[in-house]
Amino acid sequence: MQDSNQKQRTPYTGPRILGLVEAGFPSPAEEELSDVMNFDEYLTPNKESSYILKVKGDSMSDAGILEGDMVIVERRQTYKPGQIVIASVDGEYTIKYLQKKQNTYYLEPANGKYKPIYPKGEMIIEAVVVAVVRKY
Amino acid sequence: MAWGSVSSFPRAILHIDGDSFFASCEIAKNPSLRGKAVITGKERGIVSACTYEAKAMGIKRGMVLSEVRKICPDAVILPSDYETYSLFSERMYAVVRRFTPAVEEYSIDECFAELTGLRRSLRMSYPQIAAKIKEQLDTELGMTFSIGVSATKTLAKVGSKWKKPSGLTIIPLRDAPIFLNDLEVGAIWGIGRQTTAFLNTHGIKSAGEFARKDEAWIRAHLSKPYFETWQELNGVVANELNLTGRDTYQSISKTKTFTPPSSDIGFVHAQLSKNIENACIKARRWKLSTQLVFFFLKTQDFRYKGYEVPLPFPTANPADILREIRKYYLKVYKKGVLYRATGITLINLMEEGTTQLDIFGKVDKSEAVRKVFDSTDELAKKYGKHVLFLGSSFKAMKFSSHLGDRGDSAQRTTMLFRGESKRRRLAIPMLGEVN
Repeated sequence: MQDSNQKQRTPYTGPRILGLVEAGFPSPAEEELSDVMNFDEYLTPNKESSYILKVKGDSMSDAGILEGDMVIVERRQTYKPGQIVIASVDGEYTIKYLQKKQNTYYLEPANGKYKPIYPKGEMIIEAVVVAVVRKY
Repeated sequence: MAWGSVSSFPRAILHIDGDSFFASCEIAKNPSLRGKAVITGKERGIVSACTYEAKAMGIKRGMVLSEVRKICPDAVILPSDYETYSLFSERMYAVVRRFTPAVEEYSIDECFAELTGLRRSLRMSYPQIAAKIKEQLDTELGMTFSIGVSATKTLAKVGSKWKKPSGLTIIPLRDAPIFLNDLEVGAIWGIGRQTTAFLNTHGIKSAGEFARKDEAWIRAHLSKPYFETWQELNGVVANELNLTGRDTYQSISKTKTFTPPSSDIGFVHAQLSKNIENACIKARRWKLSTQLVFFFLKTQDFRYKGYEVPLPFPTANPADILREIRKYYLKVYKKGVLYRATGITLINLMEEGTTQLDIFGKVDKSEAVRKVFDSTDELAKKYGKHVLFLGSSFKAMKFSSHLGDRGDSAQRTTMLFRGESKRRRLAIPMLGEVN
């Protein structure tokens, strides 16, 4: 105590307290938010090739795609077996799994009630399903 | 001129043209239309776009639909779906911008783009860049585009027209004469019927002959725009790309035809009122106001009658305009006459904020009303256009403009998802229902 009192008499030249700084976590808002995306980017990363369709019927119910659902699809250059696609068969859009057996492509529903479609005429794969959106 | 120069591409300018764009958008939405004669413009009563199948049967743009049905009873005639066309149009620009930032959004189905200097950074030749753009457009938009590449906009347009649909035509400057010699001068962008006739009289039949005329002759016989076209055909850029887009309007017009025609004074006035509201919405969006308007009524036999009406102060408030027009409306409207359309033009638009006070204090009142319309614009942003409108427009808003057959609206406005409303929908093209 004595010692410190003596010290007080000599002019203070060290750091001065200029105010209080709150300790704790720095605000993460700015830096961390550069790594997030909005729903638009999440659902339609390829905006220019994305389209929506409304599902009718229950032919894809086992794949979790139900009547009234919105499917988001992308038009691409190539499509692979195993993908859920939008195919145009006899001038009508249909949503099915694209499958291939011995070099023949066919369309497979996801519901035991329906049979696979082996197109006789022209079949064009228009787009691939990338997301399903359902609002309640 | 520059034809003899060494470089094939002193500049490399790309022109893209959507093949029968509106009709193609309809086919992209509905594949069962593929290969059929598809026509859009049902609500207008005339052909606004048609597929090549329809063109092959002799159908042309602007043709009256009753005539279309005679020539081609199987034609599929659809109401225009401008919302979808605009979405596809935006996508077209966006795809091209992947390659170059310099894009001129020339119209809903056309754009120009500057490729000059991009060969090294993209590691492709100009024809390869163009082919890649076309490939991505065709694949992702699900329709075809015709593309031309050359040293000027005018020559690039020769290229995109050269082979349609789905063409890709590269015109290196040194090959330009080959293309132009085979082309009628009237097929050149900007050369109309009158000028074609004039040039023909002077013995100029092909675009090549026109391009080879000496500068002195062109300057002596034609006005500046044609001199510029002549320069462009010779590989000299006279028409630069406009990259800024539209940044303001000189005037804004809104016209709407309704069917059946009407002689009801209130109904016709409501149609005019609706047009005035629409014109004002657009003016406010561009932060413009007007002190002079022109309105007209169009009779069933296509006669126009209207007045130019000065306003006491600049405004973008439909109530101000309607109040001033009221005096003239009764001079134009004749009892018992059938009207088929009304229209309004806001002339000499000026930036708002340049308002001068008038001595009678009408401006003050208008400023208060202005706040009301600011709120309507806010509401429209949130809930869609025309969620709130003037009572005077009621009779026009209550019904669609066309009763009966022409009243069909685009499918998208009725096929909605949960959470969408008739006025606000997702900004993604909808391809309909899928089984």
